[in-house]
Amino acid sequence: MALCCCQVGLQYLSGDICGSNARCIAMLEAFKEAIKDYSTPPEKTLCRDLTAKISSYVSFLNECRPISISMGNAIRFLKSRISKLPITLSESEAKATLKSDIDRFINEKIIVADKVIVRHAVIKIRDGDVLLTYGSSSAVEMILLHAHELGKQFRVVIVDSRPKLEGKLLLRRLVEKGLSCTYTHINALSYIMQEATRVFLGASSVLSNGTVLSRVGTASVAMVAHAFRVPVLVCCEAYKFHERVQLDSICSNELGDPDAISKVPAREDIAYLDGWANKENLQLLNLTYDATPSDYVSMIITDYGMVPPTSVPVIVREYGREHLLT
Amino acid sequence: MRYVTRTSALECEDFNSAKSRLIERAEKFGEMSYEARRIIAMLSQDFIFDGCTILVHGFSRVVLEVLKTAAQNKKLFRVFCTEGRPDRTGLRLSNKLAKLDVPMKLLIDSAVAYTMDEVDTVFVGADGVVESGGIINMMGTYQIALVAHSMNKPVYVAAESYKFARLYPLDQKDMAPALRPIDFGVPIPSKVEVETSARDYTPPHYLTLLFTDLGVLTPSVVSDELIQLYL
Repeated sequence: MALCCCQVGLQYLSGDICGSNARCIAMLEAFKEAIKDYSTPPEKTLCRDLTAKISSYVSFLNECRPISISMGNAIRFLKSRISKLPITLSESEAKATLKSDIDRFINEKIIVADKVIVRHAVIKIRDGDVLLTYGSSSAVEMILLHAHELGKQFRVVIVDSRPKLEGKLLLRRLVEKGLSCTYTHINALSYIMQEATRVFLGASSVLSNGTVLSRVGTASVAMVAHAFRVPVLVCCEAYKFHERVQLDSICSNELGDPDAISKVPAREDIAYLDGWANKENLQLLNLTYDATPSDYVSMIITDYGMVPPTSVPVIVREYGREHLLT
Repeated sequence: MRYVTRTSALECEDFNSAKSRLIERAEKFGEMSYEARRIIAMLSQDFIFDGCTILVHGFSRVVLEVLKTAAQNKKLFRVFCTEGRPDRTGLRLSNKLAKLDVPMKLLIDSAVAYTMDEVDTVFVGADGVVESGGIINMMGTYQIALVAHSMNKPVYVAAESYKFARLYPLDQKDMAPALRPIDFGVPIPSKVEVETSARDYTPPHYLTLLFTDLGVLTPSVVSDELIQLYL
C-alpha cells in the first residue's frame, strides 16, 4: 500500500478532509504520488498492473469512508486513461502522461469549473439580496466571496445543523472577509426563510432525474424554500453528475457515527442515551446525505452554464463520455 | 439580429460588399422565419378541434398564422381575444381575424378568469423562450397562464426556435425590464408610481407545450436544444 494513499484514507476517516471537491482532489493527488513511485514488476504490463493497484487503493479508501459519486467519476476517468495508454510508451513516459492527465482533470473539471460557476452565479446576486445557504459548500463560499469582492451589497444567512456543524467554519471565513452574516440552526428555518431572497446550495452529486444528493438537511431547506417561493440554486461541477436515478435517500447513503447524535458535547446533563448500544429496541440513524427532488430546485449552476434540473441527463449524455475519453 | 450580424461579412474590407451581405442575410432570415411560422401553424393544427374556444393574448404573427391556417382548414372554432392594454394588441388581432370570418369576442384584460370556464385552450406567442422553458411575453401572459393552470386548461406557446435565448430569469424582476408608457386617460397625481414594464416572465410550470419549428416540445426540452445549440 502506498504511503500517500494511507495518509489520505486516514484523513478521510478522521474527517480532516471533507467536502467532495477536497476529497476528490486529495485522492487524485495521492494517486499521482503513487504513480510516481510505481514501477512495473517484471513480466507484467503497466496498464494491467497499475489498474489493479489503483483498484486496491480505491477499496482501501472505500473502507475508510465510502467513496462519493464524484470520486467514482474521477476514478473511472483515471482507469480509462490507464487502459488507453499506448503499449509502445516506455514506463517513464506513461507515468508522465498519467500525471499530466490527473493534473488536467483537477484543473479543468474542478478548479476552472468552479471559476465558471462563480462567474455565472454572481449574475444572480442583486444588491439588497439575502442569500441563504446550508452547511458549507466550497463552491457557494467562492460565489459569496467573489460577489463581495465585486462590491455587491447583500447579507448571508448560514443555516447549520448538528452533528457536523460545518456552517461554523464557513461562517468564520466569511465574517473574516467582512461579509454581514446571520447564523442559525435548521430548527429556525421556517422563520428565517421569510427574509431570504435566494437559496444557494452545494451538492455532492446530481443524478440524471435532477435529484440532488447533498449533506443531510439540504432537502428540508430546499423544500421550505420552495414553500416560501424562494428560488433554490444548486451549484455543482459537471464532473459530479451521474447517470443513476434514485428516488429516496436511503439507498446508497452513508451512515455516520451514531454516537455523534447520541452525545451532545459539553452537555453532561444530556446523557439519556448512554449505553444505547445495549438496548435491543433502539436504533440511532445518522445519515450523511439526503436526496432533494428536482421539483424543489429552480436551477443548477454548472460549468456548462445555468440549466434547469431536467437538463442534467442531456449534459451527462453529451459530455459524460467526453471526460472519460479525452 | 444576431443571426444577421454574426457572419463573416463584417470581415470584408469593402463596405459595399459587407452591406450587401448583411442585407442578404437579413432576407434569408426573413424567409427562415416565414418558413418557421408555416411549420408551427401546421404542427398546431392537431391541437385545434372543431367547436373549441381559444383564448389569445397579445398580437403574435405566429399565433395569427396558426389561426389563419386553422380557418383555411375549415375548422370551426371561436376565438376570445384580450384587449391587450396599453398597445391594444388584441384589437389589431381581432381586425385581422374578423377578415377571415372567425367568430371573435373581445375581452378586457381583467375578464380572463371570468371567461376561462368557456375556454378550451390558451394560445400565446413569445418574445423570448428562456432556458428554463419559460417564456417572456407581453404583460399579462403570466396571469393568464396562472388562471388557465388553476382551471386545468392547456396553455400552448407558439414560438420560432430563433427566439430561444440563453437567459435564465429566476423571478419577474430578474431581467432589465422594457418599459412602455401607459395612458390611463385621466391625469395621474405626481406622487403615484406607475408600473410600466412591458413584459412578464411565465415559468415553465404553467406552460403545457411549445410549438416550434423544431417540433412540439415540452418546456423542459428547450434547455436541451439550447445546450446542443450553444455548447
